[in-house]
Amino acid sequence: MSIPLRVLAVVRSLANFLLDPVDVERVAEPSLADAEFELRNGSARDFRAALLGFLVASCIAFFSRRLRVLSERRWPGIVPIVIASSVGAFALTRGDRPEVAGVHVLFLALGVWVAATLGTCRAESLRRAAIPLGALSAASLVATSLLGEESDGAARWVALGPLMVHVSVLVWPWVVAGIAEALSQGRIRSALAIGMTAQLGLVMQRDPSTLVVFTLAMLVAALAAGRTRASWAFVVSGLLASSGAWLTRVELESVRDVDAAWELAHALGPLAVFIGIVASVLAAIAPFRALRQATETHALAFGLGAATALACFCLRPLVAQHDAVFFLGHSGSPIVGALIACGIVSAWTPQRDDAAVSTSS
Amino acid sequence: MDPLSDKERVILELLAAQGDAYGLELVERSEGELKRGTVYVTLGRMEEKGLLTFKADAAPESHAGLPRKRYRPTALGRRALAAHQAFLAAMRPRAARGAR
Repeated sequence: MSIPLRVLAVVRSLANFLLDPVDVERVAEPSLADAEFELRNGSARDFRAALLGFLVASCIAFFSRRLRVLSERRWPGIVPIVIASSVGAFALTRGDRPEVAGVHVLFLALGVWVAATLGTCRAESLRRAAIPLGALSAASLVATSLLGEESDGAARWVALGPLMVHVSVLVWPWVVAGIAEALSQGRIRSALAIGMTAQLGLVMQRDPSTLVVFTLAMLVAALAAGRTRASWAFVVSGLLASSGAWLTRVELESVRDVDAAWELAHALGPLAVFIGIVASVLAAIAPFRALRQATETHALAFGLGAATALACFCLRPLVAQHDAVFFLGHSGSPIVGALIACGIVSAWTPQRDDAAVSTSS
Repeated sequence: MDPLSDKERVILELLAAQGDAYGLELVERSEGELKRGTVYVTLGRMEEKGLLTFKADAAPESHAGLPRKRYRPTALGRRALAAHQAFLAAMRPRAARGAR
């Protein structure tokens, strides 16, 4: 096979992977067939022009399909998170270091983009990716404890240039999604491996409060999937891991931008606090509301597990003195993590047409 | 049904006047009105609307290539074009009177 034909075979595979099957059939394949014809019968210049035509046509098909899906999908949780985070950014402008509000907004914009990208993916594609990404996320928690940035004796962060990423609160949706998908397929060992690797990583990070949040989310996901033995396994491993993490826990030094966010918000007035609390509560219950009636096990398990994790992350600052306030604090990773969860919820939420069909049947 | 866009009208007119054609042929026949990058998107949309159908050529024997699609208007496509042209014809005298 000549090199240009190999190029065509590669771009054809890429089109099959990236585009919707309808767009492959109606847009990509006819344009590629014409490019191939030009290659066999025309000049190299005609071939290059035809190939460019294919690329432009595929891009138009890809983005127009994305935009259409964007307008058709439901987006539970995104608006409350944006409102709560905006209150947080506004509060931070009144703090000692108003420049951190910009970082907060940057993470918020990144999170919305990630959520929109995930939410417009095909549900099946996300299901296929869930277990490998869940395993990778769990492994990243262990890797962070060994290679990450250390602060007060705990290695929980990865430095990306000037930004510090708190890995566990960023990757938790993929851990829960991987477990939910594995349990729905009956792959109990895979689910336990993902869950227990994540727990091990959090023990090594000496982070008991996040470990409890992960364990509760795993437990709820397993119960929602109807896997009682897996639930027990998560409870037992969670208790053991929490004990280990609690005994070796480290008290992080207080960071005013993080810990005093409620005070900062309060300084803006009671209305800002009220809006922040209501938006946080709405964000936490959004996955539950969206997926509580899902007929597919993976979606139900993820919806309930994600709602549990979000609720715990919101409540955690009330019981743990030096934890970041979820949306209001200067901590971008929880915002992106929560928006990743929103994107997965959107992709797995039954669409309006589906709901109508299930109601009528 | 949505009114025909300019590109859809051009494609239907070319197919009605000069017979079935491949995507690239339509680009050449249109003398610049259609572009290589957008013609396939428009053809795909027209196929979805039922304005066009196609006949696939046999796949090239020398290698596992893709069969080319030769497009032709459906009965609905011909009716849509006729209705569009009738509408334009009816509007022309009014526009001319308005201009006077």
